[in-house]
Amino acid sequence: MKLDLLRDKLGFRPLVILEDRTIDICSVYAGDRMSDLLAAASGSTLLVTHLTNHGIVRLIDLMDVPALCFLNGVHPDQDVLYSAKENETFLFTSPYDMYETCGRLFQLLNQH
Amino acid sequence: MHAIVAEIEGGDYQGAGKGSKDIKEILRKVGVDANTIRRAIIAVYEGEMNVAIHAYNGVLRAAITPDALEVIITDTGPGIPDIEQAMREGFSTAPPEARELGFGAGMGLPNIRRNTDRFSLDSTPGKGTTLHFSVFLEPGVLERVNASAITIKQEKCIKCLRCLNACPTQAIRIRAEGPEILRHLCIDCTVCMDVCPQGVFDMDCADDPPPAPGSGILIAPDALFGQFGPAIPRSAVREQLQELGWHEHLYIQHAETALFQAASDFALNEKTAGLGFIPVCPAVLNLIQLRYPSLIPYVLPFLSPMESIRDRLLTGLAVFVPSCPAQSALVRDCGILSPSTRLHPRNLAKSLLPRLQWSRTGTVSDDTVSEPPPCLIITGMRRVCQFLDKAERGLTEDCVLTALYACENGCYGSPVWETPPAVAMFRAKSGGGIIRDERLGPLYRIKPLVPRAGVRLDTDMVKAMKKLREIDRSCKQLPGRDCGVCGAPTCMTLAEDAVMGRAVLDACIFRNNSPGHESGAAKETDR
Ligand code: SF4
Ligand code: SF4
Repeated sequence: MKLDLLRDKLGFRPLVILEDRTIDICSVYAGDRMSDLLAAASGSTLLVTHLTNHGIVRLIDLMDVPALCFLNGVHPDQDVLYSAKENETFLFTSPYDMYETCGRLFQLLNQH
Repeated sequence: MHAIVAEIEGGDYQGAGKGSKDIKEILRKVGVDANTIRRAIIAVYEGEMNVAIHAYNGVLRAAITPDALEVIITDTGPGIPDIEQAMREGFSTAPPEARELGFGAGMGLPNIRRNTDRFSLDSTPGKGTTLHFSVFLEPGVLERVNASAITIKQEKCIKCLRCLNACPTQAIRIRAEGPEILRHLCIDCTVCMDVCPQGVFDMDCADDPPPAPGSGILIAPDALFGQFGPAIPRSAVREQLQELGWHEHLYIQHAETALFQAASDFALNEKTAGLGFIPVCPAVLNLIQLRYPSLIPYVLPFLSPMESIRDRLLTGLAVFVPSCPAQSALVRDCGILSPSTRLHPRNLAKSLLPRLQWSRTGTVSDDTVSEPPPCLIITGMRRVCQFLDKAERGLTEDCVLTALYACENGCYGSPVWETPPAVAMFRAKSGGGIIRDERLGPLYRIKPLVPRAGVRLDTDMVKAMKKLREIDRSCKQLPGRDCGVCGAPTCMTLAEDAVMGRAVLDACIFRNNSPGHESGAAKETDR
């Protein structure tokens, strides 16, 4: 599944504008515990989380996360945006809550 | 080697992770593969956060070599009172503000354990905690680190075949040039050293240049005290060690007693009903991993005394005097951040001997081993194997606390010593006073023991089955006398060697020369 589908089909808002790299996403992991996110991070995993604080900066810095999605339309802190730009990580925010976001992602991932 | 030092402030959730970032950059530049970097970084970051969440402040020291990333994180803080509990997934004592940030879900330490190749944790409640872990950057490092520490002087061999028949894991082959050890089968049990009349086998710290006395803390076996004759008390030996310049010494036996004590507390306080092995002899642990993997869960979760001391002495130079190759292998490679050397016990005894020729009394305060709590002690490889065979079939459930030693009379019976084991033990134990040193307490074993793949024929099960059939077929062509002339201990092992490409069936003299080999085959099938 290509990342731009998230914007086009699901209406997730991109938060950083990056050169279009067509990253392929093979799996999605949703969670709010940093240890779990660290363990789940990989080059082809989209992470979905409520966390928006500085811990996320480290997650982006350290783990080469290709893309992250926040929930309920929430925007992360400024330093998260900086760090995402620097590490070329796509950030989205989904208008839905975690349950619905994951449901929609699941459907989309199965179609593509 | 590349070194990194980073300070971590307690409560500084933002700052923690700087060290991880630096390390990641370096690993990238060196060209380490992505998955290994990932594991390493998760471990380091969790370690840093652990300090930020739980401690007042801490220091991260890391070293990167082509082989490994080694990290030591020391902190001052409240420490961890119960390490076993702390290692349980989901157990956490983190403050709410850490939890809000997504930390402190009790996954940190388990996450470090999962992503590292070596990991030890030393914590004193009220003082602080030290984490020490390594991630191997190359395949094969683990094998090198764990490799057996027996050395062979092939040219001395007279081909008497004693070692061949004695080795409990059938690891020895006698080739034209002399004996060879199949390292994946060797458990460093010293049986070959003991039976060889020619002194072909030794342990591999023999040739290390003796370190300058006075340069570090000496960790010596108790058996040393039994080597100098009847009129030399323990205190005299210790005095001479000091005169030689070894100002600080620790004895492995004290750590052993502490381990027995901890094991007996552990067994009392809950957790084990029935059989429990005290992990005291590393050779026996190797044996259990290789030949009795089903017994691994019965080994109590502590490090062996040598390992505990090794992991507690991470700073300053430690000079280890291992009693046997199994201990020697444990301290061969302590990592780069914890400098250490090994000294052959024979060399140490040799340098002491001229100073202890005559009867003398020592003036330094005496120390001795306090009596360990009662438990079953089984010594000598033959008895140990016999016991483990029974234990595997569930016939020893009544033996609650059991300590097994590969050498007779425990470490006093290692073949590096000349004095008969019982005598050395008797002499070493006479004395007064008890040493208590917190560095001697046993550490919790965080990375559980895993079965050793030694006897596995192939990683692919289908192929392994095929090889098994081939071995069976080849074995039928051999006479079944297990004479050892071919250089393998039994006909079965020759067949296995042939199938694994380590030997040819033609090495068997009976198979080629005697017309009777048909009848030999018949005998084999009869059995
Ligand atoms: S140390 Fe023990 S296992 Fe290793 S070769 Fe010698 S007898 Fe065999
Ligand atoms: S015991 Fe083994 S190594 Fe020693 S002389 Fe005999 S055959 Fe050679």
